[in-house]
Amino acid sequence: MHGIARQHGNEIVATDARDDALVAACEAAIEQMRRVVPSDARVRLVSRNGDATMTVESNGVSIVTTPEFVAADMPLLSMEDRHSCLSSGGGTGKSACPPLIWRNGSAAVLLHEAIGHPRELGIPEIEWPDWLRVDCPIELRRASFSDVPLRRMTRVVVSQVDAPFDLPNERIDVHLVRGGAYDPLTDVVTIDVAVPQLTIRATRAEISAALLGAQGEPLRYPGVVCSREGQELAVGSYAPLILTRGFA
Amino acid sequence: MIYRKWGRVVRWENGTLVRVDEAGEAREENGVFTAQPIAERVALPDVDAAWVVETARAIGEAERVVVVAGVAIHEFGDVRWQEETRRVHVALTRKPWRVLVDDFDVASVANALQKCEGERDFEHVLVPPHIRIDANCAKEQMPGGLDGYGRPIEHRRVDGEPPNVYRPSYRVRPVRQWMNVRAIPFGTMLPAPRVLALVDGGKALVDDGGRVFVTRLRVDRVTAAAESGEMLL
Repeated sequence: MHGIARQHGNEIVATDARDDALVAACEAAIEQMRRVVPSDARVRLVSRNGDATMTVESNGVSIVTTPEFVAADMPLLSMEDRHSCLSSGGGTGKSACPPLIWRNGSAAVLLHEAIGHPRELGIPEIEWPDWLRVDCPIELRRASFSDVPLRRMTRVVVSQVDAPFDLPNERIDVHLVRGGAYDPLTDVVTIDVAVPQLTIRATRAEISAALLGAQGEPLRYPGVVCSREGQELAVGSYAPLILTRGFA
Repeated sequence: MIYRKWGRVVRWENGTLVRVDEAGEAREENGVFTAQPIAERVALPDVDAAWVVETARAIGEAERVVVVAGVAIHEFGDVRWQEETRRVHVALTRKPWRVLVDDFDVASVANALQKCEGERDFEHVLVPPHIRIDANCAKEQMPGGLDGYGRPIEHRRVDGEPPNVYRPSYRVRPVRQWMNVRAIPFGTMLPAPRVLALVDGGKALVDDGGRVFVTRLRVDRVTAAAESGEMLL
């Protein structure tokens, strides 16, 4: 997509226009991605402004990655035992809602929904644990020349400072998230976990109260394509290992 | 064969007026779909921007207000056709409900939402034809218009692969899709509360003899369908 948009007050006049340099940059990015396309998956390659985003889907789960990381990220799609990630290392019984360990940076999606979207919408902040840090700049972004620029996240980098962390024996390991949503009307966050398959629905206050601890440096999560008002944008996402209570 | 499109749209999106003119072409060759803007312009009818602005302003405050008016000329091989569209998408809220309105009579739905007395189950509800739901019943494609390859949309029973394709934009590969779909008429229609609009979470706002409620919408339980497209759930 290439075009020109001129904004005067609350009016935008947009026309498409060919930009050969941009087309060449996007074609080059697509060619770069084609060279590393996995053979046994459904793949969508997108280049905007010459960048490169690969959505790779296999067995009903998907990752969003780049040519640089696709080889390292592919094992996430072929994890064995993905439907039985309940680890129990000596507990006496399984609780109904065991704690969750958010691996591979997947907690970035949880906090993308619980902190990022409310910030985009100007919704008042709530309290979060002292040890939690979320770098989540908001800028005006648009998916194409004919879209209205919206306040959108550019990245979500979750980190921790002296967070408690006590790995529970009985827990569910979250490896991959399919999607999420934040509803400003109800303040409810919905997270659709792909591996293992489960759905979480909780208010921001419930999520804040469920954050038990974290460990390590932020890990790159592959990845997040965020859609609002029909405008899909990639959002770089990073989080350390995060421990939460289970959600009923 | 090459598909070409010249389009003009005026869109009100949550307080911003967007005017878009675009022209492009697309081709499918050996499994590769390619689309690009074209310099050639054709004369397009004016779009009534005043209608867009007046309609949006009349709707007033809402969680989402999108009003669109557009015109497009399509060309595929020797076939050239013109389409004009006018659409309204509005999300009205009254905690805990979000009501989705996709027709022009937003004011009556907004008034009804203010009168809503709460949630209530009903044995049956009537869904008017302008409210689109994915009902679980036998359906048919009604004739009318041309598809993304310029082929006539013909009467067919909805079964198997759709014979027609839809192009949401020249930049998007055409996708097979049933169009002008309605439930095949069957059964006996009965009086029941009438659906005014859809509500997030598989519910609907209904008018029950002047009283307004939110109710669960059981799309898997179609009891009858009328020639007009109205359905009894």
